[in-house]
Amino acid sequence: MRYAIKRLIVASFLLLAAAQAQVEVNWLSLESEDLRKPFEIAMGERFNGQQSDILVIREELENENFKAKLPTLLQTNDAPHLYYSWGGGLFHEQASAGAARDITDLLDADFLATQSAAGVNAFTHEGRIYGLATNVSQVVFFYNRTLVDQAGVDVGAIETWDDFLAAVQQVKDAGITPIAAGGVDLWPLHFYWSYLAMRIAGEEGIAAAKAGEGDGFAAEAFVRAGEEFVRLIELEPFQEGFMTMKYQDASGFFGDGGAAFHLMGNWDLDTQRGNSADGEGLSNDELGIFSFPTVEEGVGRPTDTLGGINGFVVGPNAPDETVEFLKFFVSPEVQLEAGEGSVYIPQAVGAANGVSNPFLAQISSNLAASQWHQVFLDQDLGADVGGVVNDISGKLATGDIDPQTAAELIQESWELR
Amino acid sequence: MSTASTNQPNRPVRRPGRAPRQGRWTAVLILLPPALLIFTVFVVLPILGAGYMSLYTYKGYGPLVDWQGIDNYVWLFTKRTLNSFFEPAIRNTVLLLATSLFVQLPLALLCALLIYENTPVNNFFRLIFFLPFVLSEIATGLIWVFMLDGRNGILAPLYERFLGGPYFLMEDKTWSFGAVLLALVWKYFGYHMIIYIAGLQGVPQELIESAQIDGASYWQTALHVKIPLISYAIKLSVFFAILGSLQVFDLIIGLYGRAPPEEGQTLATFIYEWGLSRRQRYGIASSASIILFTISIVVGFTYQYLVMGEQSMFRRKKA
Repeated sequence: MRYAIKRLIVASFLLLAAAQAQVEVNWLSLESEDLRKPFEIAMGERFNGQQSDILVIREELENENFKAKLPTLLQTNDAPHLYYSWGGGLFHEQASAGAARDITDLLDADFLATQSAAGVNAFTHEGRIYGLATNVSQVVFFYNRTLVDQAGVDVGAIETWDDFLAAVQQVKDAGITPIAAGGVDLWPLHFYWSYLAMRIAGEEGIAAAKAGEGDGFAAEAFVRAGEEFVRLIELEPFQEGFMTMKYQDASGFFGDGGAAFHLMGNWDLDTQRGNSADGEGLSNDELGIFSFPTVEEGVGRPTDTLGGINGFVVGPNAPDETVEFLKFFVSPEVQLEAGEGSVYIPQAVGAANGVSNPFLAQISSNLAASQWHQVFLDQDLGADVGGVVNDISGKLATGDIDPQTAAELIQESWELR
Repeated sequence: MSTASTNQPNRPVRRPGRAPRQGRWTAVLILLPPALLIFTVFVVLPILGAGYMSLYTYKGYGPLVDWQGIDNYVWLFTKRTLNSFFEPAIRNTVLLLATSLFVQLPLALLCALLIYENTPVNNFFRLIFFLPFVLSEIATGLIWVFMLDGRNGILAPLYERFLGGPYFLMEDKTWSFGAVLLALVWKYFGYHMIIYIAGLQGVPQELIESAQIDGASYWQTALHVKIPLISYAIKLSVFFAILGSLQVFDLIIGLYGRAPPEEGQTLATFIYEWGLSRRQRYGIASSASIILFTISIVVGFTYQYLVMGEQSMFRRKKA
């Protein structure tokens, strides 16, 4: 017995010594309800098991908490070494303020060749790389095949916004709720305004607005985006009390077969299952997707996509070992596994070939064909202007603002930036 | 600060001969620095910091470089994207103040007059009325969410009966803040009631009896004898009510279940929304917090000066 205790003490000293030699990498991720969380945990463990020098410790925060706490966290000595990012305006803010570490010199050409150009670009600030992308996503219309058939709508024939509005009316006439929307969160509604603005103003139009040319975001095209959204709203397309429901509620409502359409990012494939009453939601056979329709006289291309490029940014005081792990996590091998496991649509070169889920494969090919992938406007324009885009989307949906004022408000906050 | 300064002249009068003059200065030198240090570090410096930050555009990262002067203050009133939050915030803060003073305190006084005498029944009601004050604000918010819920709440049958269907007060743009006012009164009137009860129990029985012998009715006795004699307690509770209503925050978050919409903002939630929460415009939030601070200081000191006068609340509280 005494001998056993002695051995235990010696063993724990050895362990302690080993632990001291290890470099800890604090990895701050975002809470998720889909497959991303278990995948990240598994890959963290695999990396820790493969070598003994680096110990990756994963932590996570809920979305709103994450956004609110990060600015403070990054200015402390306990700043995470690797943190989740949506790219866009906030990332540039972080990079320019020294809240991220320049890792350009730690990445060689061979490694960069394994990464997609769009992925590397998303985390490049003024020619320097501060993080790496893991996945891309696209916002699409999901539809419930049963309900759509019941209403006699031919989804394949929906090409323009007018077609879509007609389909919504047809579904409504059949006594079915046309669209699910989690209005209280506002951002689900901002997808409508964003896509309409993209289809009408096009890539050049949005770039010009950002550059402050002409009337900026108060220009005619953005007013029209609001007007087209209002045309949809006037059909009363959303479920009853949609402004009291969060995204999760609306997602579950759609998963329960409550509505015919749902405009959402591809992650909803899993989320609608998790949030549905029976935990099953809609099966792949009951689901369909189609891209956001074009708008007549709009200059945007039908292939332009709205969505995210997500990844991880390296924190300001991060040790070099952080990049070791990041490179492992975004390597084509790990990314291929993510695709095969339908975790998300990986961005590494060739990794999307492994995507087994038919919907993710279709979205993946949409993204490959896309000449312009706009990152979610509420991220891309920064937290403050993005907040206004969300606000006006909600107010347009409740009829509390007119499209002209909505466009002016975005422009005003863009000027106050 | 004022606790220390207003207390000092009083000491030797109350306890003559107990502490010699030199001893008092020794006490000041020993006792004041810790308090002063804590007050400076945790109150004065943050206020100065907020004032400094309010002159910059700042989004939470890096050093303060983007000098704006007083723009942040001007924008609160002139820019629609800000004003649509700031204007309701001011209006609602005034509403909170008015409700505290003109609904909550009279209600507390009325209840106190009814149950101040020590009987078992009165004790029971005292407990009932005081209970909400013990709850945390966030719990209060949640309780009221359950009460008000349009479909399953305690009030749902009333909605069904009088409005002909489920009604969601918290989603009603015009009336949702009414729920905040209601919950505020419910939570805090018991606290003020206890202050009044303590005062009323100190009113000499002879005065009440002599008023009654002179033919004064119950309400005349209350109005002309009891209330004037507890005026110091009323002055004190008014002061607490004013400062408390400027600070209400958790209750609002609890009731709305999230950051409140524009029509449900107060100065406190505005600061949270634009600074700590999603929008991360620290300069703008700081300028709003300086405005709130100024209002608190002006109201607080004016009230102290005009109403409390020589009888500062801090002295009275101890008396």
